[in-house]
Amino acid sequence: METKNVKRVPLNGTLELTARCNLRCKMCLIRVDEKRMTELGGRERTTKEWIQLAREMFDAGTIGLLLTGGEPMLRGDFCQIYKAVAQMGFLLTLYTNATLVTPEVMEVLKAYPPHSIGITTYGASPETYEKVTGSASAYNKMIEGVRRLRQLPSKLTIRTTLIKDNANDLRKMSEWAFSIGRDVDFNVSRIVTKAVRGGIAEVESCRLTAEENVAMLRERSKEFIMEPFSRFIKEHPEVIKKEKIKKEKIKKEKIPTTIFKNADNDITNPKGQTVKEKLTLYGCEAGMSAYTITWDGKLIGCQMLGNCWTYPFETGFMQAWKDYPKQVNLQPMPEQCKGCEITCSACPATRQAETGSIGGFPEYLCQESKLAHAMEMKMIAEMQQFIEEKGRLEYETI
Amino acid sequence: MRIKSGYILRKIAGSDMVVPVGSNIADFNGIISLNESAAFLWRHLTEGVELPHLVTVLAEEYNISKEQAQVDTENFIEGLQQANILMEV
Repeated sequence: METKNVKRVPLNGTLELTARCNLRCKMCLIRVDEKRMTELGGRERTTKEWIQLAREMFDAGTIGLLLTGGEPMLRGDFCQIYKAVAQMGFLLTLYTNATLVTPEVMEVLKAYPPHSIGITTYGASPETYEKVTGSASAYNKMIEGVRRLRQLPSKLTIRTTLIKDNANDLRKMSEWAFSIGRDVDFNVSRIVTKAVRGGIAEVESCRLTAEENVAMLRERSKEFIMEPFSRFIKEHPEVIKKEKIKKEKIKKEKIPTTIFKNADNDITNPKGQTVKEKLTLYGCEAGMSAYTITWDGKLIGCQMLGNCWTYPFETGFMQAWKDYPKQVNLQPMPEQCKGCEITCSACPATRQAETGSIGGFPEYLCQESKLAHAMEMKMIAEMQQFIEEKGRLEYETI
Repeated sequence: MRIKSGYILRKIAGSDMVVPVGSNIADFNGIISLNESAAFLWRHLTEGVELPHLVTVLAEEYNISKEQAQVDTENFIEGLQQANILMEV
């Protein structure tokens, strides 16, 4: 393998303070219980250890820091860790299910608000919460938690993951999220992979089938793309006319055919396009500028990628960061994926989650991506046809 | 005048950046990227200093005219005031 002296800077870190949670979500990728923790042979790190490590991460140049779990507020020392870390000077994000936002927690969050908070929600009623998380009362606790967190100047994102039990709540969840405020984002995780790193959830039995997932995507696309698009075109027919004129103009312009000499670090891809050369371990920022410290004290590439690790608490953060690439054992791309041009959600981490190997072939993801691609192509064709028909009408009118 | 407490100047991969912490994020929720001379002024402003002094040290440090330093410093201070980052001492 060709090696280059590439500068890796640990800019974005995740501290997984615990993998335990007060909820029992059927599709959770991460959650472990005490029994599984014993089986895995790990232990949660202490207050002092987390704070010391965060200080080393700060010194190493980490600027973006995510505090997550499990449910981080489940730790009795959450406020203590949070306060110490928040004062250091990270761009801080907190992930929580918002069911444990006590007055004590609010006191420390008010003094040191995170820059952003991701609140994971699981349905639009106590009944759905019961089905997904095993706790109906968690719904009202979450509503109250969100009300409290909304008092902070932090950027809020409401997040959810769709499975069979809550898919029908999507519209209600989305309406509720947007009702909180125009500045609040709503983020849906559409692809659910199997649990990672010993997580105890039986994800396969509860996640949507590939067909159901794409049907859901189709509905969302209709609501958020097709309908606003049709409405816009009907209200602004002049846009189509202008576009036609613009296209004609472009055709007459001389298109340069010479590829100029590449600048340093630029490469030419097989299609002849010049792109910036980017060296990575996994095709993303994992291990290059991003990393996760797991609940049991391992440095890994991302929260899903538990295939290899180093030990920051034992060697010091910087040494663990430097050593990480030596542990990486890349696998060739699965045969089935070679030559495929469909954009999919498969990456070493999702392949590891689905198949147990970063080089495995993730059947579910492939099937879903092919269906989603076909749906998208159909949608684009419908939009083009709509433009053509609308355009002809406009020209006939003129 | 000086920078309010809770704005932390950091060197990240060779670049000077300021991260607001605490209730400051109500005024500014993001990262401020500073060039070398802005970071120089920022460091002086953490101590509490008046405009004429800033102009003098900037002109000396970068070997520019006092007039140029005056314009640059005023522009920088104006930006900080608009973001509610400065306080009078």
